[in-house]
Amino acid sequence: MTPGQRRWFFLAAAAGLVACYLWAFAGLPGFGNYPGPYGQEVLRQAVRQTHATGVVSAVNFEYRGFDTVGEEFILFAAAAGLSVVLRRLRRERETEPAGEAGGEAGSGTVPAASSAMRVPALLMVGPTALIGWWLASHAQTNPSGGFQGGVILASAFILIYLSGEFLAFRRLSPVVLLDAVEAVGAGGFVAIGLAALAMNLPYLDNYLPPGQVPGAVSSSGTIALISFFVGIEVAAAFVLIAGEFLEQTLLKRRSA
Amino acid sequence: MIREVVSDGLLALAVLTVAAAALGVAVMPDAYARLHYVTPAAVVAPVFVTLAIFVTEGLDHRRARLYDRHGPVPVARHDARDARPRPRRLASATRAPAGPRPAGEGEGATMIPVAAMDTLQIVALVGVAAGATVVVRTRSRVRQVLALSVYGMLLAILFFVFQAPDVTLSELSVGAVALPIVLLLAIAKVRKPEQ
Repeated sequence: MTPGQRRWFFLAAAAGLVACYLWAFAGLPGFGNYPGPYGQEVLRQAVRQTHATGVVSAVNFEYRGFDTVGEEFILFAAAAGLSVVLRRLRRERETEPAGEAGGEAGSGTVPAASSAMRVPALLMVGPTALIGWWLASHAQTNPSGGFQGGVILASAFILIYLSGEFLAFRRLSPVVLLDAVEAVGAGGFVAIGLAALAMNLPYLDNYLPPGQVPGAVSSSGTIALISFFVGIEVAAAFVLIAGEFLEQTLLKRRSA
Repeated sequence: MIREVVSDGLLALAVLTVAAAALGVAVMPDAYARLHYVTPAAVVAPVFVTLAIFVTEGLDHRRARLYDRHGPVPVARHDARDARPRPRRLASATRAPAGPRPAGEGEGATMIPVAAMDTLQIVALVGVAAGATVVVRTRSRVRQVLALSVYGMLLAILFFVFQAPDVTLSELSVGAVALPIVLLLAIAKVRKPEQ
């Protein structure tokens, strides 16, 4: 195909795309005009049915809880796949993380963190972990949830690394523990659903008492519990992913 | 009203943090020095936006009472036509009782002038379009990741302006924290050692 033909082919395809796009655009409902009855129905019913004032969480972990199981296992599978791909191969040995051992000129690709970097990062670790836990445990009352809380919890660990303490990061998050926590998080979600089956209820049915006051932390039955499990699963998965990448970057692996 | 001012201030601080971090990244000579400037963009700015969300949405449990105003709606008598929303103007989403509201704010207290809300939404949309263009046009990989991080922040602000705080938190944590870290580490890995 000559460049000229290719250009005509592109122009024809682009014109078709623009036409279809405009046609589809013309058929959209007006701005802010949601035509589906489902959302309105959920807004009417959700707080009364689930006693969760975080209606988005009620949808994620209750009405469409089964979808969320699938999404959670996407992350689980991704973290597992990453661990497999980046595992230490036979005949590979690790050298010391460059730069941490104390400024060997030439080999140090990672400069030691400056104090200006280290102090704020370490100071942020506690608040960040707190925000993460808070988000993961308040899905039923506020705009938050296990996923957001989990990622922010994981970033508390990443802050430890950013403060120049790669070894502390590794000590605080041993892979065995991370694997266990991640498995407990993913398994806990599924187990909550299976427990409903054992009680002759539909999978992931909200069988716990929803609590007296809608919007209280202790309300909403299984929603809060699922959010908590999602939180620890996501946190473990992200720390695992970040740790694997850090090891790949910092520990020079050479086949012996 | 105070909530609006405080959350606007926090959002402005978040934007300033990201801008300052981007400047630092642009100035620093090598990838690891740049990495240090990612932290404020990745951590401080999300914290500011998170705080803004909580200032706006409130931390108390009493918001649930707002739902009592509408009263329980029996399923059987509920007509599908009632559920059809009225066509809205651009910013009238702020007035519709579509989501939970802080208890301290009455019917009129949350009203933002429609023009201001329109402007905010248009600014957010234009900002996201500009951010996406910058990401695509950036040639250097490291700078592209940082542009992507800023773009994630802009997207989070867009979601926040359009009243989707849950999505804002997700976008903040993934777009501004997780994705740039993974990408930067991968770039650092594949980069040839500078001798």
